[in-house]
Amino acid sequence: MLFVPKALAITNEPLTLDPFDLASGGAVLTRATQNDIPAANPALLPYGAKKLRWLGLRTAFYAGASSVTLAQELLKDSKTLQKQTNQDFLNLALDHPLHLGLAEILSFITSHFGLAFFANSQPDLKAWRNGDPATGAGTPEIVFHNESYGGVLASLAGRSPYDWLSFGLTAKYLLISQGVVDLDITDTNAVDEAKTELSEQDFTSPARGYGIDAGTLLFLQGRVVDFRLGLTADNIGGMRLSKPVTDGPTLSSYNVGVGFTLHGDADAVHFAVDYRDVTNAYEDPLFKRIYAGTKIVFHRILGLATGIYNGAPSYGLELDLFAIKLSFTEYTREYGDSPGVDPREIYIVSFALGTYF
Amino acid sequence: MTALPRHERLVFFILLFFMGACGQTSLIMCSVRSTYCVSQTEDEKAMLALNDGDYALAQQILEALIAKYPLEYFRYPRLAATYASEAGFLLTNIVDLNTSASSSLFDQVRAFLPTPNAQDLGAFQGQLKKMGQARSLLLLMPKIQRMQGTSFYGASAEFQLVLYQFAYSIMFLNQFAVMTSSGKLDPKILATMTVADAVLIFTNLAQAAQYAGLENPSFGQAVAEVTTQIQAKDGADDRAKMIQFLQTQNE
Repeated sequence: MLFVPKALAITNEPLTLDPFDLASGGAVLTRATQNDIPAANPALLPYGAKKLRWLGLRTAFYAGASSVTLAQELLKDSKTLQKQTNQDFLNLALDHPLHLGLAEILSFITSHFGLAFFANSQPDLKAWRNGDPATGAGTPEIVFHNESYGGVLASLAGRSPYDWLSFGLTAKYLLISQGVVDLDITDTNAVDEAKTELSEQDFTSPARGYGIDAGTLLFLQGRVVDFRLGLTADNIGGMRLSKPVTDGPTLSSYNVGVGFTLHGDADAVHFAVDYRDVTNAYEDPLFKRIYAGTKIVFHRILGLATGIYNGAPSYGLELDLFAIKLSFTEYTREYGDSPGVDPREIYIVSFALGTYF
Repeated sequence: MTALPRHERLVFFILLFFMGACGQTSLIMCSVRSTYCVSQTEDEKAMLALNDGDYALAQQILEALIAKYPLEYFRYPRLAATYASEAGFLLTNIVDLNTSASSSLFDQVRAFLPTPNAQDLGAFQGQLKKMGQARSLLLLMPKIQRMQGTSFYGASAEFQLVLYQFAYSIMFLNQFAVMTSSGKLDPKILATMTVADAVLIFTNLAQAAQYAGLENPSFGQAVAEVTTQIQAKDGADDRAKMIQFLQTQNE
């Protein structure tokens, strides 16, 4: 009755993903926001204008579009709510999956070194009238799952003898807490099993582990056009874990990405495509392993982004007001194994406070 | 304007190539539900159709899959739920069931089952047939396949069988309880009940109690109460008692 479908956990994508990078499809192997470089590709560190890059904290709030609608329904006047029957409440829950999330990252980034402390959590609750498309049997079903990741990333990078080639390593210590509770309401044992699952501390006692990622970047810089090719190897030799993790970012995998930039003195257009988990170690469907998108940056103040994430469009904008960065992103995360099976349209509002040097 | 150096022109054309190569096969051009790159499976389509209330599509897909893979039993309760939905029985209604309420379980389930409409008796007969199909389909599963704890669908199949047999019993009885415009039972319809029909009603109720078994005692108890009420009515035979029972229920 209780299981962890592969589709529900973060597997092949980076541990931290800046909302603006997510808006451009999540393609970060060849270009990433400063605070996410340790997780994206440490070989990106050496490329930039200054030695000291970023010191700051970013906080992002996630809310499913349907959660916002549900909140609006629940905030209606109390008389309306009192008149609602069990069926009305059930229909409200069936039509509005609940998805919330919080992510924070505190990072210090230089041209050769990066250190990031991060934590993110995204619980999700969905009720199905006739069962989940993968595991349902025709009767109402409630699926709750939580993914919580936290830890430390420390990166070192340098350029090879050639200016256009860099290498980097990221050492990571992770706390992973994830679990799924799947309740078919016709199964009288389901509640007992759920209690057992919780008491086995899947939610309260995270798995701890450490691992190493490596990356390389080929960067051909032109007067108007740049070309990048990025390669990363995640969890080299596997991850050492304190207890088994059914699904999570713990397998050895390889990723490749290409990027192009058209740029002037202050403006730039970035195109990037990533193909993650080339050997399909996580057995994710293809549409979840391809990330692609575009960013446009105007005078380093306003950024617009669009892309494809999990096979669906993503959008966003970012305002970079020196010490403060604000961003808004809309994207769709697919929890099913095929596009459109169990999508969540998610809004992210992000606030970063920090300093560029 | 100065021309770009050769290597930058090459990069530029590569850039244009990737932009143009998207076309019909790119993820960007793929529609949400069915893409050139990857499509939903037939099982996913069926379940999405069922959840969205497109029962005709769900039935079409599931019947075809069961015909092709008859030993993959997880589809049986899914199709049974589809038939039951087409019969007007929505499983989400069971959230309102309260076994400790003052009204009997029989009355509670009867309240959210379709009732025959004097203007369109054929529609109710169609719904009754669908409910019978739902029950019969589940009976095609080996018993071990519809037992709690044996598979992810076993508990659901077991519960659905109890529920649908119970609902079928009530609907079979209700087919003779057609209300006139004055709010009374139509005596002409009531008179069409035969002795064989009455026996069949008792048989259905007995089967409902049998399937309820020890796992769902509330349903077994509800059936026992109804059977006792019917048997307690005055009447020369089961048919007469049944008619009396219906008249009492609809007063």
